[in-house]
Amino acid sequence: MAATNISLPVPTKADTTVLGQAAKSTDSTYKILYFGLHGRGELTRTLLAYSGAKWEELPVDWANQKEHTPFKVLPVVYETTQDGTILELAESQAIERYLANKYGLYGKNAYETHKVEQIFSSADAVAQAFSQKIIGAAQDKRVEEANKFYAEVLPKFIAIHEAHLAKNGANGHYVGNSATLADIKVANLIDRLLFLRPKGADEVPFSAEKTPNLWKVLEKVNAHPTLAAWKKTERYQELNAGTKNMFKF
Amino acid sequence: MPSTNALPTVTRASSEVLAEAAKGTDSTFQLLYFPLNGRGELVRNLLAYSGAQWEELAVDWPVQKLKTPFQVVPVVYEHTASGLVLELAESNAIERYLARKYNLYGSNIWEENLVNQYYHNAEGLIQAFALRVVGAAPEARIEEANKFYTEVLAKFVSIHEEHLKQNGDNGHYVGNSTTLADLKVVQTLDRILLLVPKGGVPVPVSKELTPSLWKVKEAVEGNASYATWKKSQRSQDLNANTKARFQF
Repeated sequence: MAATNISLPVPTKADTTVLGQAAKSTDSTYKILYFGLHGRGELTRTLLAYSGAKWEELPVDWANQKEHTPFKVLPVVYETTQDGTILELAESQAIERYLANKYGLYGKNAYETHKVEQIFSSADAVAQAFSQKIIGAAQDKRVEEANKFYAEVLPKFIAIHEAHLAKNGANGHYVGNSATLADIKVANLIDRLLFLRPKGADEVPFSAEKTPNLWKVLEKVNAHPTLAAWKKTERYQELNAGTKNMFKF
Repeated sequence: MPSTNALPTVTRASSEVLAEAAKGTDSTFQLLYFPLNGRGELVRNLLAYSGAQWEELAVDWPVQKLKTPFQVVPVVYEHTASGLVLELAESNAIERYLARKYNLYGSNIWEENLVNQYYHNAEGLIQAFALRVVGAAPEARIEEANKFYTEVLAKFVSIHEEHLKQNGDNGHYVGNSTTLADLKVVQTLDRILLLVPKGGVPVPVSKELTPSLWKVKEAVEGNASYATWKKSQRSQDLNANTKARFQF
């Protein structure tokens, strides 16, 4: 069990040219500070696991740690680079892009990066709508809101995304022939929607039969060995439970 | 003034060909977005700031919707110097693309990360504003705005004034020059400064109250093509339309 511990790594103070050099490291180790649920830490943990990098979690003592974080929100990630520099990463979506960029998951040129960002943004809009309308709904309204969401919001998303994936050759990837942040973000979204189905709600309309191209993306991402290993851990199961508890699902 | 109704034909080519054509800063742009600020504002600000030639397309949404990549606007059509047409979609993806092209994204992976963290923190602020103030019933607006200013905005200001001082209080979030972070925060503050409930207290953002943030605003507004855009009739109309649309 994690002891309460406010001590956080101390970021290296240096100018951005020096830190920029250090940040090129692909041999870094990481410490993540986030609560015991998926929430805004999920995609960061997923990317850390996917990258195969060594990473661990820091014990949270939010009341005491808050003042020491750059924006007084979590997640924060502390990266120790190859040369021993400590970099402090804040804001979940900034962290996600930094890791994607570093580990070759951000497209091979400016146009591919833009395509990755288009997909990310489109998926994030659905994630936010789900969060507001279903997670944010009063419990006695959850089933009704979820059914509406599945019938109105998801089919539009699915149609658009199945078409994009078909245009890219239905190869299990949004951009080119290899995994990018786009694939991982969408896989994460589908996993989350499937996991947080309110009891008694309709089926979530994703499946190998109904959404073959999206399902292929999901399977390819989840088949990635280091990510698959992470999802089998006890900690991951704790985060599942923590998520359901927090949002009362 | 919007010049045409038809959407440009997008070039089909590999991403390598498109990316190569899109290098350089001599493209012209056409923007498809509704006549208000909304998710088009920062895109317009970036196009203006860049000094690029750009114009707006006339919106005929029922006809155009299914021709857009995600059935949402804004969409930007980039006409490269070599004659190709690229289709850019999703406001924040467009913003990042333009920032990268016009050197507004920092000069290494670390600076880019810093730009992103300020961008996303500001996005959190504008989402809270949209939910709590713009989303409030008009009769509850003054109270919600006051709460927003004292609970949410004050916290943002204090954190950001500190960050800006740590960067030397030079009117920039990252390094010594304007980045997407500066433009995003300025647009966010402009939105809050525009949508003040009638009869409400003034927004607690000013040269006196928030000197470092104000410096960022002044630095962005010191860009000639940006300033010209902001003074234009179209920009004034967009502000007016935005206020009207949300009943401010």
